[in-house]
Amino acid sequence: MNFDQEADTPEQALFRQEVREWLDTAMAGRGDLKWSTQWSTRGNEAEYAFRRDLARKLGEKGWMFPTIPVEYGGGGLDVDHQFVLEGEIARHDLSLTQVFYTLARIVVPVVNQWGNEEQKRRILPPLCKGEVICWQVMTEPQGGSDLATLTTVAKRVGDEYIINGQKVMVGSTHYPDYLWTIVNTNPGGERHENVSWIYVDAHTPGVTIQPLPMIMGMKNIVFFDDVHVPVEDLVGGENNGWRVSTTHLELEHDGGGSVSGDPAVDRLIEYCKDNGDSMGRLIDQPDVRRILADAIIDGHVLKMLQTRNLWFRLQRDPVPYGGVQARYLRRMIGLSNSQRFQQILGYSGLLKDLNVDEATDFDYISRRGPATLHGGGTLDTDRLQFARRLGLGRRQRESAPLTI
Amino acid sequence: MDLRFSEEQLILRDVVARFVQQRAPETEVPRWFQANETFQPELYRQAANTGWIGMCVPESLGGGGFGTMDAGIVFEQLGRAPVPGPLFASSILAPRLLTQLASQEQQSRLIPPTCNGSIVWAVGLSDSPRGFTENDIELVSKDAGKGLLLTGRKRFVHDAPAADRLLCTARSAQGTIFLAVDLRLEGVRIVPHEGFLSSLYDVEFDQVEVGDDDVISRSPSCWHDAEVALEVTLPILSAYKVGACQRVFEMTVEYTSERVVFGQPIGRFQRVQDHVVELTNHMDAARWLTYEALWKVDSGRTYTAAVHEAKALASEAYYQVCNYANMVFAGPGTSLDHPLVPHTVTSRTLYQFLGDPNYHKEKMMDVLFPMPSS
Repeated sequence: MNFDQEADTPEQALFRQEVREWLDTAMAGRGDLKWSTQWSTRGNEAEYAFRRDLARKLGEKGWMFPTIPVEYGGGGLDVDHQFVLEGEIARHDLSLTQVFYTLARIVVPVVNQWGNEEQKRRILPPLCKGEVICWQVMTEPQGGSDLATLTTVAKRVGDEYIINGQKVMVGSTHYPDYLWTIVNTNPGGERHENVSWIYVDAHTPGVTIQPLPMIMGMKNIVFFDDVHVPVEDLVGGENNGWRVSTTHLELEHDGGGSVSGDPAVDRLIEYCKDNGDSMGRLIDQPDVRRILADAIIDGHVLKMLQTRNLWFRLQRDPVPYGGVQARYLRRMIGLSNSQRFQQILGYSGLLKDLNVDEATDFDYISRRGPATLHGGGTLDTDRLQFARRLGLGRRQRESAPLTI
Repeated sequence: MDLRFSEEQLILRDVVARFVQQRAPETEVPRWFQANETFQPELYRQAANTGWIGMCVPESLGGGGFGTMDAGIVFEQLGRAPVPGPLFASSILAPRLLTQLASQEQQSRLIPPTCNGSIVWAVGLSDSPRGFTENDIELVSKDAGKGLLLTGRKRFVHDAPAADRLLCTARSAQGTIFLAVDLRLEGVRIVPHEGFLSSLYDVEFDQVEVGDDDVISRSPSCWHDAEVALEVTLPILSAYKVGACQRVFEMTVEYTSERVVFGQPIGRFQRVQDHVVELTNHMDAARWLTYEALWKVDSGRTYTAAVHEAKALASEAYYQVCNYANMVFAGPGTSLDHPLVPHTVTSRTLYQFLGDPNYHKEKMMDVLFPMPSS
């Protein structure tokens, strides 16, 4: 075993050097910009513009999606390169999957796996090159965790589908170019056998987007009113959407893995070194140290399991329950930390501070706990999925789909 | 990065796994625990013949010269049974303390016979029931002629009746000292503890005379030196607990499919699933932080915080994994013949061994963020 993420082959070492220098140059323009989170409450347009630009530059090099073939807009590189890129961008507190707020990290692997040749050549390049922003649009008001109850209907008329319905709690602050959405293509059909994925130009007449402010920031409601979409934009086959979802959901459910970690505890540690009260520095107080120890250990465990997920995924040997395990722990630890931060910091643990990255802002940490327990399914659906992957009470254990 | 064992390590793992299946089958181990026969001399002799006793000791001293990760692989498999007895004390703890604290003469006199299985060790360091501190040592040593006179007791010593010698601390006029005491000396009495625990003893000393050559260290810093020496042993002990967790996990998952109530396997019930989910999370947390700590030791990285962190997690994990397994197995899991019982008892006994999770978290924090000296 070797836990050193930078234990490179000679080829990797050369590539790492190239990427590190390139990123240092590209990041030089960052100045005082602080990174926002996905559903930012900050409305920082300059930062968004910088990250869109960074994504375009990375995309031009093929580094946003290193293992996707060049003809589809990727880098045509291998997993060794991807691992280097993941590690190097993490040094700048970003992740390859979240250079800016697009869901390409999910849509690209899904289209790459399920799309036909024409779709891959048309849909993938702008996503891989960071030229467009795409939202995933799944949840419906009546649906929640029960995704398959879709009532947004796409009716085939000639060479088009006509979509009518409503999606909720989707997207982020910045208006999308495309919507990756799952629709009902056979309203009378059997459950799971009546859904399809479709890639919709967000500027098509009949698409209306209405902001929906939530605790963690801005999401949206999307209305489809007689939205005409060419049949070529249905991906993975009509009424075959539930099978396509296995790839999609594995990635949405943290199956992708990551080496990025959560910088929030690091900031808390620094804060505790620099601040105190009549009892002395916070970091020297026994009750603070006890709480901090648990936060540090939880953070370490989570990062280790996410790294494990990335590494085994890149070996094309994904841990069957790895994604949903990391996702469950990430959210539970996020919830624990929202309380731990307050236990240590008191009122200060609730305060907004625009001078730090949003992911380390105490205001954000306290919001994140309760507000990120639902996205992509609840904690309870996490555990259901976990149990299936462990094979509890079943003849066959469900395996993890390949996502690379 | 490479998160897999090497080919050689996989072979080692499989060899130990077969050994454990054959020599410590689940049909036998519960009986050993009931009969207090946790020391199995034949199993111990075979382990010594195979080269696992003293496997991390340098070859020049009769050991195997293996790495810490290799020892972790062996102990992970031993934990599955769980194989009880003085294997960890004799194979890992005592040789490590001796190589760090003892004189060259003592090392060459005591370590090779340890490695070939002819000296079996028990180890007694702190005598506190709940902590792991130098302050609570109860055994008292007084200078007497050419040697020492020992009075008092060593508390909560694992597997003492199995051992030939006790590597222990004592209080002397000059401070803490380390001794290697022959347990067959006159005046030594081994008193078993009864309770929800396995193979724990007090060793009482009534005016026991020992020679100067059994004093391992009189250094004023010997307690501290021993603590430092123990660090590399902690992730090996953690690996034993990880193996135990893995076996409990497997038997629990299997049971969720076999056991049918209300017309379906209990694994279909979401409440039951929840127990297994939490069990798995504890196991994996302990597993990966233990592997990382083992790797840090072997690869020459700074490891002190990591080994304490792994020890805290693995002790907590083993305890909680047994809790969740008991929720799933319910009644049958508490029958003394059930293979879960040795695990449940061991998870409690080892929770305290060499310091409980809170102790190790504090040690981790002291390394990461030293307190200002007062």
